[in-house]
Order: sequence, then C-alpha cells, then structure tokens
Amino acid sequence: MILFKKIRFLIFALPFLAACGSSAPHVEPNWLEKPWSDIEAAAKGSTVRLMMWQGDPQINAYMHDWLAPALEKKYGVHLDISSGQGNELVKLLLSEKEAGRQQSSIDLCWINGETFFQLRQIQALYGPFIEKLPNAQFIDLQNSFIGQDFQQPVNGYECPWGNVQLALIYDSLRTPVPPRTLEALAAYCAAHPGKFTIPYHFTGITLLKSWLIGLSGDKNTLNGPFDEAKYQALSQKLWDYLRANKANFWRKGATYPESVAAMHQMFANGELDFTMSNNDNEADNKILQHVLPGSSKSFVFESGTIQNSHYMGIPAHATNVAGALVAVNFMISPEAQYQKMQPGVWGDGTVLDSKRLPEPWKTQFEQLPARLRGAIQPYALQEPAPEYMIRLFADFKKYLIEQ
Amino acid sequence: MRAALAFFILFGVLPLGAGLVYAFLYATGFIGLLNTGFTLQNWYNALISRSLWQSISLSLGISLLVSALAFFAAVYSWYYSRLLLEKRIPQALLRAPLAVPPIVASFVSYQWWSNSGVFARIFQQLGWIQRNADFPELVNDAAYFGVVVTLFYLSFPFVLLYLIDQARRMQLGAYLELAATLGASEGQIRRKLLFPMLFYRMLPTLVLYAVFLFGAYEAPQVLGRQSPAMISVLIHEKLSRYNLSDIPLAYAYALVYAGILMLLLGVFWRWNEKTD
Repeated sequence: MILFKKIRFLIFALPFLAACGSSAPHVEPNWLEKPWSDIEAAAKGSTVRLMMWQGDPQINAYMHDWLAPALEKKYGVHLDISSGQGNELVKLLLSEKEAGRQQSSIDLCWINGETFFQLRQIQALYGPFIEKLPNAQFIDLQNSFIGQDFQQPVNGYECPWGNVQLALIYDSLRTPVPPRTLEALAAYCAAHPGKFTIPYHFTGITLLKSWLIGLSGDKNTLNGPFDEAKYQALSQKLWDYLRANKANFWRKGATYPESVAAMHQMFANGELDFTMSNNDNEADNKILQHVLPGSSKSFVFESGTIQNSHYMGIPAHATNVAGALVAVNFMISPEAQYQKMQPGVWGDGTVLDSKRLPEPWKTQFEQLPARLRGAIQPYALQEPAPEYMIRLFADFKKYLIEQ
Repeated sequence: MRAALAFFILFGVLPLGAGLVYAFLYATGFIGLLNTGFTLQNWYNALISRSLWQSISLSLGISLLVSALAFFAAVYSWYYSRLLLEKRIPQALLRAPLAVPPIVASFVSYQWWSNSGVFARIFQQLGWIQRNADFPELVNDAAYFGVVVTLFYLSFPFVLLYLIDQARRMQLGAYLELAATLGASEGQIRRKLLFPMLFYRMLPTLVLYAVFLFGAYEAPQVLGRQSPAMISVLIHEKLSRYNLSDIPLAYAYALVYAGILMLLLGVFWRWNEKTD
C-alpha cells in the first residue's frame, strides 16, 4: 500500500519536478566587455555546438568540408553540427527554459524571422553581440533587408549570415514565357490544369506574403507592426483569387506538397511546371547537382517577391559564448562569405556590403557570377511582421484547404 | 510478483501518467512559458474543433479498415496456402517487410503510385494514358488509398505470422480436415469454422494493432492530406508550426485523442471479459 502511495505521489510530482528542476548555474564571463583578443584566446581549443537545418547536400558540404575545417585551422575552434531548425530549435530552447536549465545544449543556431520572433518572445537569445564582431564592420545594418528581420530590428541579437530572395523556377523548354502577374498565372493554370501548386510550408507562405503585398499595389503597405484591418482586406482578396483558381491547381487545390524538395521532384518529373525556392540561386545550384533540368530558370512576379536574410543566434544559456562569437565572426568574414556565395558551393547571397570591403575582396565579390540577383533586386519586398505569416498559415488551411 | 508489478508501474505507468499529467497542466495553463494561468479555453477550442473530430473519425476508420483487410487477407492466405506458409523460405519472406521502417515504405509507395511514379510511367508507355497527369490520384488522395495500401503492406505480414502461430496452437488445420471429413462444404468451413475461430482468438491482438494504426504518423504525413489529416499529423502540426500559442491546444488535442482511445479500449476489454 505504501509502495502504491509513493508511486501515486511520483506520478503527480514528476511533471512539477521536470518543470522546476534546474541544472547547476553556469556563469559565463561578460564577453561583451572583454577585448576581442581575450575572446579568441578563450575560444581556442573549445567546441561550438551548432544546430542548423541540414537538408541540402551543398550546404552540408560547405559547412562540414570547408567552414568547420577552416575554423578549426584558423582559430582552434571545433564546430560540432547537429540537425534541427525552426520549430525543433524553438521547442528545444523552450523546454530548456521551462525546465529551468542554466546550460543550453547548443551554443549557436541558424535562424530567421519567425524563429527569431519566437525566440525573442521567450527571451532565449544572447546579445546584443553584433557590434563585438570585428567583421560586422562590413555589414550594412541600415539596409532594411538585413538589419530588420520580419520588421523586427535585429538589435544585435542575431547576426546576418546570408541574404536571399524568393524566386519561382520554370523549365524554359516547357514554358518559354513564365507568367509574371497573377492574371497571367490564372490564365496559365486554366490552360495547363494541375501544373501549379504552392507548398504548405515556409516557402509557400512566403509566396502568399509576396502576393498579399502585391495585391495592395504598394510595396511598403505591410511595413511596420501587424495591422489587422489591412490583413483582413488584403487576405480576403488573396483567398478570393486562390479559390477562384484552385480547381486548376495540382490535385485541384485539395492538398498541397509539404516541402519544396517534394515540389522539386515533381517539377523534375514533369508533374509540375513550376517549383520555387527562398534562394534565388537555387535553380543554378540544383542544376549543378543534377536535381533540376539544365533548362531550368528563375523568375519573380512583377509585383515583387520577399527578400530576407538568415542569421546566426546564440542561445541565452550557451556555455561557449566565446567560441560562438569567434565562429560567427568567421562566418561573416569576406573569405567565408565569398566561398558560400559561389553557385557551385552554395550560391547563398552575401550580407557583406561590397562598398565596405577592402581590396582585393571588393573586386572579387563584384566579379562573382550572380545570374539573377541584379535583375530581381528592384522587385524585392520586405518581410512583413511575423504575425502575417502565422495568420496566413492558419488561414491557408481554413480558407483554401478545408473549403 | 510485487517486484514485477512495481517495475511495470515505475517504467510503464509512471512515465505515461506523468506525461499525461504534464499535458493536462500545459493545456489548462498551469505550466508553460507563454501560458498566463488557469484557462479552459484550450479545452473548449479542442472540443469544438471540426478538424479534431474529422481527424479522429478518419484515423479510426483507416485503422479499422486496414486491420480488417489485413485479417481477411491473412485468413485467405493461410487457408489456401497453409502448407506452403509452414516452410522456411516463405516464412523468411514474410518477415522481410517487418524490417522496413514505415517512412521507407511510405516513400516507396509514393514512387510506385504517384502521378510521376512507376505505374503512371508504365501506363503511359503502354499508351493507356496520354500524360502522367491522367493517371488516377492514388497518393495524397481524398480516399487515402496510398495510406491504406502502405499500412496494409506493413500490417499484413505481422497479422499473417501471428495467425500462422495461432492456427498451429489451435490445431486449426486438424479441425478443418475433420469438418471436411464429416461432410462440411468449403463455404461452411470458412463461414462457421475458419473465420469465427480465428476472429475471436485474434480479436484482442487485432484491437491493439488497430490502436497502433490509429496513431500512424509517417504514412499519413507522406501520402495523406492536410485536411482531413490523421490525428498524429494534426497534433504534430499544431505542436510544431509557427504559432507558439497553439502548443497548449496541441496538448488538449492529444489528451482528447488519448481519452477516446482509453474509453474505446475500456469498453472493448469489458465486453471481452463478459464474452469470455
């Protein structure tokens, strides 16, 4: 009987114990007040645990085969990379905070807008640290596509690492003239039913955000905090447009692919005429990987597409802040950014402002082949506040999938 | 005996019970970083959610359908090939699919049944369809064909192997031969002997297997639809997408799902005890 009483007590107490338990307090020196040479000295010989999305072989190759060895060789910092992105990362840091852990299981993470918003909500990020990084001098933080993440000022709590713009991909042999307006897209879908769809995923929602702004006719309309009235008015137009055309979408608009990778596969197989990516260089690097046909090209809508940056953040309870700072500083060095920007390596847009770079880097960056970026920059739209994404994601299901 | 019971409670019941209590406290606002205190709103939202009830109905329907299909297919396979199935090579072949992870089986199904898959290409080569888009929708389809086929592929060998074992223990083959000797027709043997004996013998295991299928995740995620989604997919979506304030709702969904399963299992065991 006593045994059962004890067990009954444990059943009810365990969640509380899990919620209240905490690891031993870990006190990191205040690195933001120390000279950079001290930070480099403390980082030497340490391991930085980086959590990042590892779904692309080229990105993985860049990180594992080039960046990690170079970081170890130059600064003696070992990079230990684990898989995890967006929601997994938020869940991990949220659970650590809820459990009262003082030592995070990671030191560095790859994030962007919606994750930054969520991590700031739960105060899970360390900072402000950007100004501490010597290589931050080459970044123009006044550039709203870099210094603001989903309308939120970065404020030094994450460091820009790459910059990309949403682009649609088509096969120039199958579709010589891609539709660049919503009207043209509707006509295309009517003539080629089943050949277009939107991924039910971050990239698809980014396209919907681009269209939401496009439908307003003013590219700055959604700048600033979330505006319910604007959202209601514009999203109504968006759902009207999508519902009017969904019968001509893939699977008659009753279901949508869960990932861009699935869309790439269907595009390559001929099941779809379009795929898309948040990286405007995706067509080039997927052609080099032989994932997409050589005749694949990218385009953006005349009303524009979202351009945004992705960042590196340090968890508030990271145990190797010095190592993380050194790693991030190397990631934004001209050398690492130049390597990353080459289409055969990753093709990720740089966050460095070429005007601020010393020679010979300035010339080298300017001579890199950027097949699309120059042409699409005038069509770049700023990311609206994160609430637009949350609402669009929920309403996409409510007004498009379920109706 | 007491030690075994204590071990089971400590490592079986306690973690599960603690998880359920944690989910309840989260859904009710007592814990959770973004929760602001006690609330029943998440429970209200869960109970009036059309998506939740659609998902539970769909999951229940698919789990019962697949269990029934696997059972009938296993019974017929055993009845018509029981001598062959006793041999080593067919038994080894039957065990092979048990080693295939559901996610792999799901991707294989996708490669076979999708509009750009193997069957669509064969049909196109044979001239039966003009374009691959003309191939019927058999994955991500409204009827959940792809999901049912994949779960059936994963379930059938397990059910058949279990059936072979049970039939051996019951000496079912001898009963069937005796019935035939006494003049029973093949139809009578199947209707009055084969199916009822195996059904009642295997029912508890089939019910537990259906519970396992109820919570299937990989196949519905790859081959199903977003709406209605099977229950595990729906809960995962609520837990992991962009709105952190949906997390308590996801826990409420999970508890409603767990509650319904426990209720159904409770009713079944009570009925089973009575009929025993």
